[in-house]
Amino acid sequence: MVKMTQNEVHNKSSDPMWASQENELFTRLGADIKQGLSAAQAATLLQSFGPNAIANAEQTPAWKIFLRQFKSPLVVLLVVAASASFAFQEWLDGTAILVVVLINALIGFYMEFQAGRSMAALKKMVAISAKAFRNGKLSEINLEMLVPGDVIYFEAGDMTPADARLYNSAQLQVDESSLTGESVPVEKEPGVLPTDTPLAEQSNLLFKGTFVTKGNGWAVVAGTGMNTELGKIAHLVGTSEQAATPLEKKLEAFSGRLIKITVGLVVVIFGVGLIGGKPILEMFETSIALAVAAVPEGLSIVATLALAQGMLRLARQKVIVRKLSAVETLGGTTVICTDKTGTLTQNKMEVEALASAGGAWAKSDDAADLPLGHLPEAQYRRLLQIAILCNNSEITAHKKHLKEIGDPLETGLLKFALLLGEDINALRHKSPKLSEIPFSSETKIMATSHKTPEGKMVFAKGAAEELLDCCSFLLDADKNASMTPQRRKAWLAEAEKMASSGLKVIAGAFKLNTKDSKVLTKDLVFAGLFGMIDPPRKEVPAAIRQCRDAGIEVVMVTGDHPAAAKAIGRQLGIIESDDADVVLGKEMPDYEKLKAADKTRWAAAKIFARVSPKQKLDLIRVFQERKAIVGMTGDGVNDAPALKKADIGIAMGKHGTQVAQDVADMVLRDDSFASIVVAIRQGRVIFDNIRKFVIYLLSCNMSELAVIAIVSLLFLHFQLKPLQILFINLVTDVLPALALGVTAGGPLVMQQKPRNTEEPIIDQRRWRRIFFYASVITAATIGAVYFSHYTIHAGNDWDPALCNNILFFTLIFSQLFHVFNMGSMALPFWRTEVVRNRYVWFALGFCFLIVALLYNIVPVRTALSVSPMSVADWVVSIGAGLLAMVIIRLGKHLKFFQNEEQ
Amino acid sequence: MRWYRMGFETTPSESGTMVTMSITYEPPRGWFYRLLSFLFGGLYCNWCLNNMLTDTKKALEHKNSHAE
Repeated sequence: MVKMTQNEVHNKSSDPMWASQENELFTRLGADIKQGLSAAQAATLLQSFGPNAIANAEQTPAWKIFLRQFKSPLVVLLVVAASASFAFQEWLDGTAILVVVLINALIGFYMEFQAGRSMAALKKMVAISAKAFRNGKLSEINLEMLVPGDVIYFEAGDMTPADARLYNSAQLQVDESSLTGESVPVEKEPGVLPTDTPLAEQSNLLFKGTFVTKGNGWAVVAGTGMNTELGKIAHLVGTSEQAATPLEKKLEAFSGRLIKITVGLVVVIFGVGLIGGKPILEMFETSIALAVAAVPEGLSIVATLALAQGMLRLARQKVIVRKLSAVETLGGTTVICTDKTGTLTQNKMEVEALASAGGAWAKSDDAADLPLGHLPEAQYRRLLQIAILCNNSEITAHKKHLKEIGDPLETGLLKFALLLGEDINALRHKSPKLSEIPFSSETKIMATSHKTPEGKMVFAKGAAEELLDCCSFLLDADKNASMTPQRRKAWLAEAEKMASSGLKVIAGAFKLNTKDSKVLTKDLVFAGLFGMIDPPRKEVPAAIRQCRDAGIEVVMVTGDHPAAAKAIGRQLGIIESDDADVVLGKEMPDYEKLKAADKTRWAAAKIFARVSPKQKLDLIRVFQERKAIVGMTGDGVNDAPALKKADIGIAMGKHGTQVAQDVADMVLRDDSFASIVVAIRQGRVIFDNIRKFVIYLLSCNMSELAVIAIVSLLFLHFQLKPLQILFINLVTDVLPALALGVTAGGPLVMQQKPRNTEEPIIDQRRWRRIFFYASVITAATIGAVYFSHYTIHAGNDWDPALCNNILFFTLIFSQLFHVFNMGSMALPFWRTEVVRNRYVWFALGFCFLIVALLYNIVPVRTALSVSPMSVADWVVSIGAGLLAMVIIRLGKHLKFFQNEEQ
Repeated sequence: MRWYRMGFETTPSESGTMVTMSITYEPPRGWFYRLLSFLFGGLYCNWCLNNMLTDTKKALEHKNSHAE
């Protein structure tokens, strides 16, 4: 094979890809459509052409993220304060303020950098695969490994992995809106086109990044990575950044309002201080330090960090959340509309029963009890033929292990045939496929046409109600009887009976197509029914109970038979009795024609069966009209509109199509319903943690403001110094607050009603709590000074330096111990989620270490105006801090205000 | 730690194999060791698991390069 670069492939012949003859193009590309590339060839080509990836726009370099931290207006204020200090030759103060600015910048840089890394790690987890034919076998490989010359297969729901020339297709349609802007899917078929055919009309080519909406096909890869149509425009598109989430926007707005209030207060304090005769520089620095300390300017970046870390944690639990905003919305979910097959069930289809006109078979424990003994041979053979030929999946034995590629229902049928000793490959070889009507969720039927030793034949399988309507005959023994309305009714009843025992029922039919009719699904001969068991997932009943306790409704929305849906619904606890209402797809009018009674019925029903993707969309609309926050699962290409419309679109990661995964907010890697509940729990925990963090920070900041304001307004002879304020802000605010952001959830997280997504971060109830906390901390802080003076130093004159130190350290300890007040009241103190959060203990330990260092390192002690204190004074400081914590906890216990759990 | 159990799960993926490793353990007796376990047990376990994964990856890469 001649080694070529991408440019040579394009330029070697005068004919472009769409205008070249197939054989000539494939020879140029080195493609072999019978065997595919070998592993060695693919590896060599990968070296030449590089990975099939669109080059990402450059990530923001670390130094830019660091410099961005200095853009904050409060940082500018601090620099102004430092400059003023230097101007007045207060070198120590000025330097210390600049050190604070640097430390703040480092902390902000770390948080933003970590958030960015979490997002990048998440992107790597959502790898897209392609079905490539190599070494004579079809297998799934990472899309980035594709090279020119590869033979690829694709079907409805797949993303086209590279630019490719089509050579075989069945009713193939592709959505090319990302390239051409054409919103209607385009039909694709093999052929040679004129040289001057424009891109939008190149119907024999597929382009990377487009989606297959219908049908399937085979093609040879001609362009990969940046040498694709998508690659040509990729540099114009750039990468899309995550938009600010609603929570981040709320926090930004909240910070903005706080800044205005704080600036007002600070101006008042500045004025009062001047009136009281304090030096202007000291009051200027105090005011600036107070402005910086009082405003929690890191709120939104900490929220981002908590959300990003939450997303990573969910990823480890097999849930990929693709948008930060989805993590917020999860906490407010009130309804989950879930698929049945694969989400509530294991999607491990096994044939457990067969039924035909001549007999029936159901699987028993006796391995020797084969279907052939129960069904006439002609019917048995015909059913096996349908199972093998009307089937696009592959199954191979590899070291005593079966490797399955394709839809689980289809591989289940193949497994059944294999276990009965059928040679699948031989039969397929003897009866090659001529054409196909692929399965669609609208028709619920798949049909294929084959050239068999008996002549041209059609085989079909699908939903019993739909397929029976296409059948004019019934296979009875070895001859065709007429399909009368009575017989049709009897077979529908048989299908219903099988479904009500929990089996997924697939009907099979066939016909001789001697006249080579293009209409494959007419005048078919009904062959019988396959009953397939799809056991429910073991973890689902508990997850459904959790949802009920959490005030979340679970609604099953399935394309399956209503009796099967009901049986599974009962088993899993979605419905309590067999009398529960099941809404059928055919009973569901279009949304525009719905009456109020219909909407009420839909809102109350727990099971929807034989539902089409369009009806899923209508159902979401009905729920959203009632202000529900709806999570909807989907896996097919036609589920994309419903996934977009839902508040949380949930795609299946294992068996879902790439289209569904691309539009969804969340992807379940294990396809399990229980993972949705895990994600909702995590979403609630994250939001709770952010709220805890905000409440903690605000109560600390407010207490600092209150202490300084009260001392200033009462003209007391002690006050906090500017550097002390900054030290408290840096030490006590940041570390314990960050630790709060990673707390595991409290025990009652999933026993509370879903959060109202409209409610503010801090409502009136929480503001009252914050004022209470701040008041207690302020009282304890100022109280400690008086207590120390009137007990330990009774009889002495007021020592402003000592008073200042007690004020300073008591405020530190009060705020540090206050972190434990953020825990749940439902548990004893020592078992709350905050006490059990080891990061809180690390943060406190570190803060105490810093305090110890500041006290013992003389230059730092001098800069912070700290002088040696007696043991008794330390006891008073620490004791006052603990007392504040106890009083607050008592207040919560005595329900001075409503707690979260009430 | 007293009793502990290691978990090891492999899943095929598009570009290789996904490996999930875990350690389940009983905390030790004695308040001091329980406190140490509470503060540092998780970190130590994560460190062990990360090292095991990294070493396994290196060993497999080394084996593959020798095979070529």
